[in-house]
Amino acid sequence: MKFVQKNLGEAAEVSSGGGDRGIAKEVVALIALSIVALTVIYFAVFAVTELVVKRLSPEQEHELFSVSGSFENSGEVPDSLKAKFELCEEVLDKLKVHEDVPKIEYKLIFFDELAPNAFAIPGGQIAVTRGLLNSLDEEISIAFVLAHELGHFVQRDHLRGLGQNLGFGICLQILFGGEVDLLTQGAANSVTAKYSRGQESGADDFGVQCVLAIYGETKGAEALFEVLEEKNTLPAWAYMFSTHPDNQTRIRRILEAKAGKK
Amino acid sequence: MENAELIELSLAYGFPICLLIFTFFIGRYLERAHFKSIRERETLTNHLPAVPSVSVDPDVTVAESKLVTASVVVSLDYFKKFLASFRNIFGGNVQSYQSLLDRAKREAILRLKEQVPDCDIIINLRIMTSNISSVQTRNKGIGGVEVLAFGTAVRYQSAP
Amino acid sequence: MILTNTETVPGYQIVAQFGLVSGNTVRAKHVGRDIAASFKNLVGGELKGYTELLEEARQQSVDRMKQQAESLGANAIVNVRFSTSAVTQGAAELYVYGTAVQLG
Repeated sequence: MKFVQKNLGEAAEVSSGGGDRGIAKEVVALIALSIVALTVIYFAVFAVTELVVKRLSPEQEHELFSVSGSFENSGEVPDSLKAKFELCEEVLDKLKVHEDVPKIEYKLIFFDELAPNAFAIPGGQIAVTRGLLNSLDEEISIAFVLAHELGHFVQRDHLRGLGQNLGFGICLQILFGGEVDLLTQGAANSVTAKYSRGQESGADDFGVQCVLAIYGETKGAEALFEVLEEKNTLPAWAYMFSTHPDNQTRIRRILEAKAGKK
Repeated sequence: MENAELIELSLAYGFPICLLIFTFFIGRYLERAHFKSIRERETLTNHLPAVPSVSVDPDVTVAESKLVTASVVVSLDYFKKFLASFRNIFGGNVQSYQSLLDRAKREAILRLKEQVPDCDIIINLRIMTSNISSVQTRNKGIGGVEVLAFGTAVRYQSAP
Repeated sequence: MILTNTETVPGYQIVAQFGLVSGNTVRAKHVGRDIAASFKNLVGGELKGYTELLEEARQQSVDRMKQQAESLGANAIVNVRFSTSAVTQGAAELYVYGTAVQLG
């Protein structure tokens, strides 16, 4: 068998993956596929949660979650804030008689966190943080915060949020085999956050209506957000990833809701 | 509090993205350099064939034959690993591994040839690939692939 | 193009050989196949999805090898060897190589 020396030339590169062009193609294809997959998952999870939320009455939900145990950051109310916490409970009792609020048992709990925040927890629990109690003085601003959280119960947002997080968690688990990358997790979070922003605005609207119906005025609510606005240093783009609409938008919506009501 | 949030955000999103961009350019530079060197050396060693066949030219007498082996261990960069992990979801050709393994194979054969520059042919060539990364943790660990090439180098009696 | 995994092509004379030709494909399975296969794993049997996938990828490797042989002006590839290896979780490399020859 005589060896004849020949040069492969271009054909030497048949398995080399196409260089820069190959990588560019790969990136484009993967981005397109990811967008399609995320869209499908998003709508599937959305539809399933919506279906479950519709079938589950507030009473059933209350029963289902009434066994919920303690949270890691929940704690005893310190003596200095006791008076304010009790004021909150009073306000909650006043607000919950509003006709749209599901008639279940509500319980106020305390979170020892510095960030001013409040949470609606499935099963009728509302959590307020130390930071929130510290920064709220007037009854009307407390009323707005609690009415906002009640708004989540009216819209069953906490249940949707729970279902969606569960759904996305399962999907990501299947896709990434239990090793959720930081980037992909971030992508999933920004998807759910975007949805939650609509819910937050809805809860704001309900809050204004509820406070207006029971207290007859909403002056404190604007003051509350103006206070938060002054503390605010987050740039506008960061709100893409944030759950709550930015305060400017919220103030504008409150004013609009008031104007609509009168 | 908002500042802390901002820092957290930029750490969570900024760091991996910067690492992706950084490793993309570094990886691309290294790959290009490697391909350039491979092509040059392939031209230089083109006169020495390495083939899976076992027969040699019947008109010549063999002076010497010996076993030669050469191996290369290569690893993916962060960017390509990221692409590959996405490819694992959708299936299909894994472009990032394609170029890596092509480089590794050609490099191993080149090293084989460069060991025996005075020989005339390498016969019964075998090429093997094996995964030497730790398999317990997916995507973590050091992902390495070894390519082993071996064959019998034959030197002909120089023409009288 | 004649492909054999023997030293020669029976019935033909090899007049010249042009050296090594090879083709390589790395292919990953997708999550859907994974899920189906995990069910199939309970009862055993052939994983049709995987067989198909590897067969397709191997064919692509062979095509690439043939492309190299054609560019060398060869009309046969002898001593063809296949090698399959798992390069990472979920991706397999199908490598094929052989000697490009000219049949008389």
